[in-house]
Amino acid sequence: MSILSTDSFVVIGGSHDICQDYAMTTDKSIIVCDGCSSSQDSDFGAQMLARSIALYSKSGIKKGYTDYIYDITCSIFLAHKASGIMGLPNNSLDATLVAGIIQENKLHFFFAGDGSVAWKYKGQDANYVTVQYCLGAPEYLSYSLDKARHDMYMEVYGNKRTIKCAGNIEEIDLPDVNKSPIYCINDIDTDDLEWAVVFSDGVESFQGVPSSMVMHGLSSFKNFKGKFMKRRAKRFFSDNKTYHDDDVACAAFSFINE
Amino acid sequence: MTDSQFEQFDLGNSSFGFSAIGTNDLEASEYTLVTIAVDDSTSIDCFASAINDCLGEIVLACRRSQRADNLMIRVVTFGNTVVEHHGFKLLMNCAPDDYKNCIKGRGLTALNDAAINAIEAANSYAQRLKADDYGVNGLVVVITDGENNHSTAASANLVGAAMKKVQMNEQIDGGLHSILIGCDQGSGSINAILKSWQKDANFSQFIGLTDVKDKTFAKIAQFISRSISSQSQSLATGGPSQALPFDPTQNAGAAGPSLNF
Repeated sequence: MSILSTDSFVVIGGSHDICQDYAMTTDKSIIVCDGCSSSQDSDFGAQMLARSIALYSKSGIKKGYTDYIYDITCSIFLAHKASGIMGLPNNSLDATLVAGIIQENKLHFFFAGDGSVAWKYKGQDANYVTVQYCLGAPEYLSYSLDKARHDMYMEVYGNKRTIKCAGNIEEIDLPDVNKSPIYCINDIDTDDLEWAVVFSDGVESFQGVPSSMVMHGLSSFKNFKGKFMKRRAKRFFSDNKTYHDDDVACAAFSFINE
Repeated sequence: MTDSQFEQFDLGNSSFGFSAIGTNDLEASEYTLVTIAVDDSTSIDCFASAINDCLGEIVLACRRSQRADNLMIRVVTFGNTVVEHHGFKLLMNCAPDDYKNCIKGRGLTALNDAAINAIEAANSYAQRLKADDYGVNGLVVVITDGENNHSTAASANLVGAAMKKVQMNEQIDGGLHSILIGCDQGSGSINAILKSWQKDANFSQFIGLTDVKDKTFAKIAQFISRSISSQSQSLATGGPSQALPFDPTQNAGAAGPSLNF
């Protein structure tokens, strides 16, 4: 029988005064949000977005990944309401999202903006997928709150994202035919899955170290007891004192067989 | 915690091993390994009860700290030989009553063997923890009222060699801080010998107490608790270990122990 446990880790980047990444987990979800560094109070916005997604993902009966896409789309409005009550500006919600949600025996990954995910089956190499946006300008969910802002974004940048992958999957397995703000990798079978991790784009910000190496290091778990993600991440950062100018956030599932 | 949950470890050349809980049971991300090695020779018999209470007080004080979940304690006694009262286990699984009959005051003083065992056991377990990604540092405290007179390791230099090996290997991230507490029941001649032992053994710190009475051990409990606190904090912050001063005028037990967790 597999037992699901979760853990997360966040560390501030070298060029930041405030950490604008936020990571959290629930019993069935792992969520990372990365606030835009040029948007005021986006550290709060990242947390509110993550929490509203966590709330939505736990509510109601879900039939499949499309229900979660709907929930994520709606979550920005809940976060907007909360940020309004706290007197935060609209652009405080300029934050990317990378989430993994378990539904029955399937794992779905969702991206709203850039970031990476990884997952590994027992006895196999890990798979890594990175979503990047043209000119480093991700399409934030918060643009849907302001049509003018959204139109300007589409005019300048368009919804141009690239998807890179490594491991046992090929890019042809990851179609991007859906041009909605949310990119999805759905229906990953959880049988024989060992772990899954979501990362903010901070893994791309290590000087002289490719992101693939950073993600591999952060997911080389020695065991899965207790604070397993924090332990691995602290050891990784302790052993590799490489400068990273951006915040780094990661959250993980582990599937332990008893 | 039952004995069956402890794993037994050998220490290579040493005839004394150690035990510790398996890493599968550890939930935190980092641990300070505390070893307290206590003299159990005949001359300490008059303080047996006070020392047992001292050990209980240390556990009680540390359990109240915010870092309690990041502490592991091992207690050994040394008379004719080294005896492990209990192996490395989580502080929260230690109870003051566990030490009611720890010290019996019988035998000679295997100080060198106890110190070497404490150092090597901490280093060995730290390596194991580090292999599983745990952050770790260590504190060894040796309490004795007399010089070594019955060890297989004939000289303090061998203790020093063991300590140097640990320092050079750098397996314990935050370092291994070591304290020798000399409890001279007279006016200080024993402490002069122990001071020299400390230098040869490469111990970080020597606290020489004279005219020791029962109540001295309450102050020792407070000092050791503060030292544990300091070592745990240095692991959390990544800062260096700090040697705290022993303040004999500090009122033990007044308004609770002064811990800076």
